[in-house]
Formats: sequence, structure tokens, C-alpha cells
Amino acid sequence: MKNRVLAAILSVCILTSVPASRNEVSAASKQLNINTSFGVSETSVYGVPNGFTGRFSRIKGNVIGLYREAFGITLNFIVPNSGFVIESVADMCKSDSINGFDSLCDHCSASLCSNEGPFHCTNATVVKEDIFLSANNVRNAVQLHITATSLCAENNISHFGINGVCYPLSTDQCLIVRDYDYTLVDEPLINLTQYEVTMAQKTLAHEIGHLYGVEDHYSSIYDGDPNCIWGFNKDNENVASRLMVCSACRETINANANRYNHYS
Amino acid sequence: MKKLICTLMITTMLFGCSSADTENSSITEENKIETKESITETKDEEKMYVDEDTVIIYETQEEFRNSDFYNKIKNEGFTPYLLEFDEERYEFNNIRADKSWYDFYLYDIQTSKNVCISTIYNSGIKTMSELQETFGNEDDIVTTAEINGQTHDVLLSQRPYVDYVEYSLFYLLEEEYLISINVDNATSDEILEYFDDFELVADNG
Repeated sequence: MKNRVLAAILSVCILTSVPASRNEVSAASKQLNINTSFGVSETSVYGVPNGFTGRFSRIKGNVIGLYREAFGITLNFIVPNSGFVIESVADMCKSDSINGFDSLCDHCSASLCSNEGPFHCTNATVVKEDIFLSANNVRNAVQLHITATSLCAENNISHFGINGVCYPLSTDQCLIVRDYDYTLVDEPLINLTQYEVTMAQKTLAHEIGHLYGVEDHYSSIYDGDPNCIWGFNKDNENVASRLMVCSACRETINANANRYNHYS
Repeated sequence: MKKLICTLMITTMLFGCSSADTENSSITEENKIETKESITETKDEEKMYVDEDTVIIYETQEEFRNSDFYNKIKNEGFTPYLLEFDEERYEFNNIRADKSWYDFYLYDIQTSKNVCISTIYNSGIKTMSELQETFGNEDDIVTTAEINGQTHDVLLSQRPYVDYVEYSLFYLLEEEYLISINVDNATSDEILEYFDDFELVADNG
């Protein structure tokens, strides 16, 4: 009889302990913590901090919706109080090892920019260094930086403007997203809402996808499904604002959806 | 008695393991992440993905008409279109073009709403069902509408992730030439009215 009672207690112990640990893993999985910093360039346009942080809610809201509804992934944006980072701007392009780098930069043409001020383009690698020098890095999170400067990047043969960049495998895992196009500075803000939010949310969703293993396929119209935020028509208004994800990219994200299990 | 002691020891061990799991669960999760990340780091430390910006902005339709992009549309066997609209009501903002699409951005002075007429001339979409499959959602409406004197099948599509546009209206102007209109917070009825305010005029020259 004693044995039976003890066996029953034992069974209860086993039954209650196993599912509890399973649930814990499941609850913690599919969460990506994103420690967010902003460039001081943002404050030149929107002021500190309400103008921009209010606006960022709109951008991130749509991206949170996409990842939650389509992939069951929780994006947890962490915005520290002192989240503004001073970026190296102006002539940083020149510091690159490629000779004549600045002369290749579209954003450096005299009509657009006098090679100074907050709206000059900045090399993504330089911005990355600035973020990790200045931001309050949070453990167990990837770093996101939103900047109003136009961004550029380079490879071995060319130098080009970019909307955003993702370093998915680096020690300092981070995303950088361009928020504001300096060519539109003189326009009334009311005209900026649709296009600017569309592009910023698309870039944010695009860069987060790389963390989940998505590869770009925008090199030609025959490179996968063009109507996808990683595809040929990624910047078209319909594709960008609807945050369209083709079946191949959807499959990749779903396959890697458990890659991050950052707890809150 | 021996059996009882053994069973108690097993029970204690199981309780012990279980509580240790609970207490240290967050540490375990963290370790898992760190291990995963340290493995990938060794594979490719410097890999970076860029979202390249190749969008060209044309401030006027004339500038667009004289551009290389405009000629590229023709060279690829498609018809370039320009937009006709009431200049007293709408303020022309710009045209943004890239790859196989160009979008007209305008501002409705009367209602303070942004309007975007978007075109994808090599969309790969040939039929309304393909259009619905690619851009549509479950509850979307396929109907007909008269646009500039011609009857078209149109897709009135809701936008799931956009908080400033409720509906978009799509139709095929030619095979694979996909047109849509997006207006800030316009209802399905309003968007049909808007569409009649704009005429896409073909340049067959």
C-alpha cells in the first residue's frame, strides 16, 4: 500500500515537472529583443524626444504586426531613455580604404550636400562603430539604430546608397535603418507621412528578416518572386506598405522562427 | 523499509532536479542563445546584408519623360504612361521609379490626403485571380469600375499591416501592367471616387 502511495506521488511529480519546463521554453521562444537607439540627426528634424518616438511607434507597429501574425514572433523593442547616439557624419566616406571613395558617393554631389551637417550620408560601418561606442547595450538583445542620415556602403568594386544594413552574424549583431531622406527636408512634414513611414517600416522588416536567415533576391525580376520586401520590387509602394513576403522567404523565417528566444 | 528509503531518495532527486530547472531556467535559455550565436560567429564574422537604395526621384513629369528610365520602359517593350489630373485640386509631389515600377505621389489640397498612383509594368501578373492571389486578402472585393470611360475588373484590397491606408484599388491596364491607387485613410467608396480623378495617358510615340 505504501509503495502504491509513493508511486502515485512519484507519478504526480513527474507529470507536473515535465510539462512545466516545456511550457517555459515555449513561452520564451520566438521572442526577439531589439535594443533601439536613435541618431541625433533625428532630433534635428523631429525634436527630442516626443517628435520622433511618437513617429517610431507607427513604424514599428506595422512590423510588429507582420512578425506576430505571419510568424508568431514577438518583437520586443527596448527604447532606453538615453537612446540617442551621436553619429560620425560629414566626411566619413573619405576614411574608407578605397581611393576616391567620396567622389563616387551620389550623396556628395555639390547640389545635394555641402559635405557637412547631419544629413550627409554616412558609411554604415562607421555608424556601426558609433552605436557600440555610445549606446547602452542591453544583454540578450540585438541592437537597432535608426538614423536620419543617408547611408552608404561599399564592397570591393563600388560604393552605393542604402536604406539599411544588417550584420546578422557579427559579435555586435545589429541592424541600421535609415529613417529620413534629407532631400525632403524642406517639404512640409504632412507630405512625408505616407512615403516615409512606408519605406522605414519596409527597411526595418527587411533587416529583421536577415536575422532569421532570409537572403536578398532583388538582383533581377527573375530572382525569385519580385513582389516581396526582399525581392526586385521591394521599394514599390504596394510591396513596401503591405510588407509583402513571398512564400520562399516565409518558409525561411518559419524554419528559423525559434532562432531567438530572448526572454523579457 | 529499504524500498521506502530508496523511493524517497528518488523522489527527493526528482524534486531537486525539477526545482533546479525552474530556478535556473533563464540562465539555461541565455546559455543556449550564447552558444548558438558563438557557433555562427565562427562561420562568417563580417557578413553584412544591405538594402540597396536605387530609387530615382523625378520632381516633374517632364523630367521623368526625358529620363533614361522612361526610355528603358520603352526598350523593354512596355508603354510608359503619364498622369493627367486636376492641378487646382492636386499638388504634384514627385515620381519615384526603380527596377520595373514607377509611382506618382500627389497631395489632395482639398482633403489634405496623400495620394499614390503606383504602377508595376512588368509585374508578372496576367489575370485578376493572379492579382488577388498576390496582393489580395481573404475578405477583399473583386468588382468592376468605370475608369476614364472604360470598364475594368478591379480588386478592392484591405491592407493588413498599414495604419494609414485602409483600402487599395488594383487593376490591370495591360497584361502584366499593374496599376493601383492608395490614399490616406480612404474608405472603399472614397477610393473608387478618387480613381476617376486621374487618367493615365499612354505615350505610344
